[in-house]
Amino acid sequence: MGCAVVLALTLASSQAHAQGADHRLTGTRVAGKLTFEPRGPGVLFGALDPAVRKWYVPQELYHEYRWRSWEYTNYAREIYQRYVSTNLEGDYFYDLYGTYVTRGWLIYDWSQTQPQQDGSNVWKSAYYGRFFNNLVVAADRKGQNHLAITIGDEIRTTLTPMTFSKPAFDGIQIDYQSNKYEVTALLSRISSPGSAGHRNPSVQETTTSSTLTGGRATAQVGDFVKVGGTYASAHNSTQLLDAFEGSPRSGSIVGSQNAQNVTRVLVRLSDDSPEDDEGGVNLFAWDVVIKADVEQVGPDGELIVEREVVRASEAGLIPAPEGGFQRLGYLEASGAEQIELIYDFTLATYHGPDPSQIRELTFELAVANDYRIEITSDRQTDRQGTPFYLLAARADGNVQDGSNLSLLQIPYGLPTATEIFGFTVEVQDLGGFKLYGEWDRSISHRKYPNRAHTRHLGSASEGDAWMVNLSKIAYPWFAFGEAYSMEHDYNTSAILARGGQSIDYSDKGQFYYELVEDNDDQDRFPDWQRIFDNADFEIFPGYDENVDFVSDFNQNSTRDLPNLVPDYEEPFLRFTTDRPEFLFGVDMNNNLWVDRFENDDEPDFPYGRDLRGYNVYGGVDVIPKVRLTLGRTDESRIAGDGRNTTNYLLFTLEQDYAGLGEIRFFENFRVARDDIADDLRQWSEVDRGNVPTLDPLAARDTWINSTFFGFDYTGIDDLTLTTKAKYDRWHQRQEQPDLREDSYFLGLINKIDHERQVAQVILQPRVKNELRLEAPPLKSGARRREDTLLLTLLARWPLLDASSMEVGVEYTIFNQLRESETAVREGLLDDFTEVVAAVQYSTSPSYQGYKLHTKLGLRLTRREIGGETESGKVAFATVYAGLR
Amino acid sequence: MSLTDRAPMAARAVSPRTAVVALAFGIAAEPAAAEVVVIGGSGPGSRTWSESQSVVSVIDFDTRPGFIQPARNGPEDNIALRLLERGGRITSPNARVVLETSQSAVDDLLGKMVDGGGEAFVIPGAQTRGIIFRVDLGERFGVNRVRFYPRPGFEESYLRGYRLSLNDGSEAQTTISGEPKMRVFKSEDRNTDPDIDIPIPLQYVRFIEVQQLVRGAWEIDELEVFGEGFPSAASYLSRVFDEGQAAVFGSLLWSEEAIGEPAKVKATLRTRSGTTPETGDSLAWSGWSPPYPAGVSAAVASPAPRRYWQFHVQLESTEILSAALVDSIAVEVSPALADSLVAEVWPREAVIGQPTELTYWVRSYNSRGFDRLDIDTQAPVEVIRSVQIDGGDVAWEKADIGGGVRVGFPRITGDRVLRVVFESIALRYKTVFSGRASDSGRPGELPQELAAGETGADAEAAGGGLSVTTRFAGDLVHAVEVDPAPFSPNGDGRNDEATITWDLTNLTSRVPVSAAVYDLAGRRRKLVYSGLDGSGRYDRAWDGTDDAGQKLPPGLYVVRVEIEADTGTESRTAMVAVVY
Repeated sequence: MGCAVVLALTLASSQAHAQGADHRLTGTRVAGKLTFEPRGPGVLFGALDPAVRKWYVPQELYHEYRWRSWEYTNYAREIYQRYVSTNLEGDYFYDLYGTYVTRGWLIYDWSQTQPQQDGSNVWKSAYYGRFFNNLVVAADRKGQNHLAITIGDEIRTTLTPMTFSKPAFDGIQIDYQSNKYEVTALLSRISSPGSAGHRNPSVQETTTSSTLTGGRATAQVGDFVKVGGTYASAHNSTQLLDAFEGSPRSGSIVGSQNAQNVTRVLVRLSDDSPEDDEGGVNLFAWDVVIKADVEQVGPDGELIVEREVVRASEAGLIPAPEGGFQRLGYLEASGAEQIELIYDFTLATYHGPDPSQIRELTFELAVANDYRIEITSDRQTDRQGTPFYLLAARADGNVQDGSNLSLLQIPYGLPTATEIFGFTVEVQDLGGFKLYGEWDRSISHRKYPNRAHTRHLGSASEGDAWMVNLSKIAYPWFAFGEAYSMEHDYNTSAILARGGQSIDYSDKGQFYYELVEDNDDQDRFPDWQRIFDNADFEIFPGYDENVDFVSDFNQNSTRDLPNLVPDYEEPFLRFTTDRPEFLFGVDMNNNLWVDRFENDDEPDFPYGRDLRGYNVYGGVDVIPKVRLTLGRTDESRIAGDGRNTTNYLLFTLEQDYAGLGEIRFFENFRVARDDIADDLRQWSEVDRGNVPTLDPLAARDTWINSTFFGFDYTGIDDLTLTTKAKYDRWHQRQEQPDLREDSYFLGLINKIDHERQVAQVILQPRVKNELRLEAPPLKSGARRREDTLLLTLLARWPLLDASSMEVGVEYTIFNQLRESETAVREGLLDDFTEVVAAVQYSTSPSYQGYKLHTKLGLRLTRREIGGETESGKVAFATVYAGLR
Repeated sequence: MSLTDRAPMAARAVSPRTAVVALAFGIAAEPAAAEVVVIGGSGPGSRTWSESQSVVSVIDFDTRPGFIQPARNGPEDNIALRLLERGGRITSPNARVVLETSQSAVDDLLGKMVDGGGEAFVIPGAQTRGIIFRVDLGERFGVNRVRFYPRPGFEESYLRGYRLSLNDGSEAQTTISGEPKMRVFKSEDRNTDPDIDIPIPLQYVRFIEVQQLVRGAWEIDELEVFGEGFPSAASYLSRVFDEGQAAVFGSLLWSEEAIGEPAKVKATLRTRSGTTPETGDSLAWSGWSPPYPAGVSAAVASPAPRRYWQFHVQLESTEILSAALVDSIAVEVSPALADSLVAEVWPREAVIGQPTELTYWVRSYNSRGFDRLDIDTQAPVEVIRSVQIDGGDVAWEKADIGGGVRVGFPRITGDRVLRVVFESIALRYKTVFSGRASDSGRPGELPQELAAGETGADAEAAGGGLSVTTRFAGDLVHAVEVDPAPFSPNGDGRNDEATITWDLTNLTSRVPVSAAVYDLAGRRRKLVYSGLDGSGRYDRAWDGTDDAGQKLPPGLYVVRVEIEADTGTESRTAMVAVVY
């Protein structure tokens, strides 16, 4: 039993009903019907003559060339024709009914056959890559009904943002759309989706695999409302089970998980908020309920299997906790302390069911306070065989007074599937309101392995997530509200069963599949490295406004020629490129980073995991492009500790004045109490990579002001005046030991750029001044008082048709704005002056269809710093080939 | 001496700082047998930190006499010199292949880079490239310079190309498998200086990795690491203190100070106790206790009686120029009353908040004598039904003490079984009726805690233990009652006051509690009580007045007891009628 997806390429008409006897060499017409049934040759050519001599069936050589091996061949009149490859036009294909499909090439074939060793087969032939570049689309339509079957290695697929969203889904997507209904189905063997190539059974065929099934359907209800449902399941399966024995919802224990019985289970209890060093887990009592199938001999000598339920404590297995501190009546583990319970079913003191008989283990733990419970076993390990803990339970909030005392019952099992289902409702323009609501539930399935069985007892844990967005615009007024909740155990990851390999539960790169990817920079590569994904080595969301795939702050760095100097520090380029600190943006989570530049290590959910809260704002468009907004955010961690309440005001003004230029003014004032850590992995131009960036919690009880003013004056031809000022201030309303009471960033940039042609020479004098006064929120951060003056003169003149010469001089004065005797703090630059002179010859001739941009030149640098003189030189000859 | 006298704890006041300790213990001038062991005190009799040490890592005894603090590194201190002593390592994943020798020999050779001596780590092969060695400094230090160089006379044999990578040892720079994620700090493939001296912006560093980039033979005589400030962690493990006989512990007091930013530093003190001098015997030694708070007296949490004990101090900092210091530690110790006092209680289950008759057994082994037993309870014990020694009824006395009951009886010596039957309530899922014995004839000695275990006194009570389990109950406030209800606060001397009682259950720490009287319109008329309480039975008297001190008019009122637990607010109510 199994399903098969076969895509074959035909050279003939794509109309299915056009296939028939004319397109094939074999087959027989009997009573006007085509048949493939072998009927024998009948009396053809004397096949049924009762002769002794060997009779040869007239087959390929006769049908193709009229050649019979016993007849004399003479090619004098009809000259010889060489053999033609029999598969020049491909092979013949038939469907599962035996109906002839086409003559052509197999492109894609996925079949699941049960019960059968190596019964899962996905093959993408070399033609899939060579002919179609790893994407085939079979689309059809009739009237308002549209259908498309898309098979590809990199399909941009989203069901909903909280259930399934990937920039490069590798599998099959089947879409149907009509005026009122939309349906999508997704299928993929995610444990090894295959890549185009020649047939290789060891890669394509497997007995155990992980499969994704999912889909979404929406229906338009009336004129305004659209409702939808979503489902996705990533489950492990084994092809050795009979049909209907496995479950596409809860998955199956696969071979590598079931190779040995569990003999040792470890439970670890720790403090879920270790940073506060108190109120960690309180463990009052512990035990495990064992369910086992015990074989007994019946009164008539028959073998009877009985389900036995015993407690480990009654069977001589009472582990002594390791770690933790003894309190009156309970054990406590706070901060970094941990309590470990080791259940070893091979101990001599244990007299319960043999591990080979155990079908289910349920841990009973009487716990209180801020607990975090993880479980592992000798079947849940990393590559080295070291048990690897997976989270089993967390306490809600950060309870420290014992008031959440409860008896947890936690079944133990190995992960077998992740299942998500949910519903959506969209309302478009109903009374001026727009609404989007989504509710989803994830179910993480686990099963307890037992090598004597193919069916295993399972358990599941659930996590819910929901969001509601509501907005209304009644010009000039507008309002928006969002409420959301996502429990910490809302799970969109699945653990892959990859053939016969033992699962390394610690290795997210090789054994985890993400239904919702982390792709903060919204490119085609997920940010985290998962198997079968292309790695994304450069993640700088928001820093590529010109969409040239390069950071706007290091435009002259490429993969072939990395440049470790940011443009705002590189001679000549630093005139144009200003530091990212001068960009204005909204920082709703108060972590010092503008939200649109943030990169984290979490799936791209609309809202953070383990958060529940709301954000509302309303405002007025005072005049076009002048907007005032007032709002409030209130969100809390659900299981973790922390809350963010922020009231804010945002004023934006953006005006173009013809003949003068553009003015931009932004003002954001907020009062925040935020102790939720939003840690990031931010792009560093110097490291050419993403580095951990911790949230210093600088807005624990703080008012924050951020003001930006920008003015580009273009009123005079060939002269551009640019002013850019940004002032951030964070004032702590309560004393914080690690934070400055008042921290600030004041940046002011003034630029003048003029271009004038004198004879054949284009002269470009430029002046830029950058003032930067900064006291970061953390006391350990260095104060800065820096002023940089750049004086630049560029001269460019043509030499030949496509050649020019360019000479430039840049003089820099960098001043720490300090009293002369004050030492410069470690890590900051001392005062310096710098002269950079450069000459460059450029030519851009055409060559073999390309424009060859050739640069020859020299750059000399001389810097005087701290009484010493440094000099440097760069000589270069560089050729770029472009189409323009 | 009456049963309710506080058992005094004595000490030898040995120094001005120790006097502070003594005062904190409430020690009277009364001489007695309990001893106060002081480490780090400056007075006579106190023990110095250095003579009390066993294993220390980057501890400085000298900068501030009487204190311990992390060893501060100056610009000229080579941090690498003692790295092997403090648990650091130098390893190489591939040098063994080139040197064609055993791993232990390679480790010995690598160690020569940090021995301060004249021998060097030598890579002889001219064709080799890519040799890596990694230095684990053992702790996180503030580092601003790394230097390595060949021996004098071998200046031609130096690293002509190298890559220096650093790791600060923090969790953020550690892989999931615990390996440090090295970050390249400097890469140099055209080095011409045998004496490689690399300045680094001051930062925490724990791991330093050097990789050879250019072919050729090379050697390193010494690898030196310089920096400034304090390591992020330092530790002090005391020697094992031998009390000469089984001893019990009283209170512990210690104090800490800070250099730099107090919020960035932490000192942690723990104790453990054992029955043999070999601390490696996990059966004979307890685990480490919870950390003790600094500056306040706290009962020693390690089990007793034990002959041997030990303490451990961990000094941590998250800021290079900040550090924690420990001034002194004082611990009360006195001889045990018996080799062992084992106790158990029966029944082991009770209904929460319901009075239950409990039988309490104490078996003494080789007792030197005790005649008082203190039992911790969550509500006052009203009834003691009987006291028996070895099955025979004996005369007894009862006294209420804070948080329990004290029972006096004829002095018990040797191996005996004491049985006390009393009535009490359980207010927590596991209510522990812990207890301690004392001898009124030796008031200066510390009481001895009872150990939960099998006394073997009653087959029915088999299982051993001092905790009574209740069923899980979601409610935290129970049994709010007013007595008498109605009452008549008319000043006639009869029923002028009502007593409001309530139980708080399953709390492990104190939470805000209030008891207030409301009229039937929902207006609060009187706040009877507001404070912080943990699990227990409480009562407060109400004289029928409102918040302004005026008598309330007759009528029905609602008494509401409310707590603000971390899981939310919970309340219970009772009705009371005021009549005149």
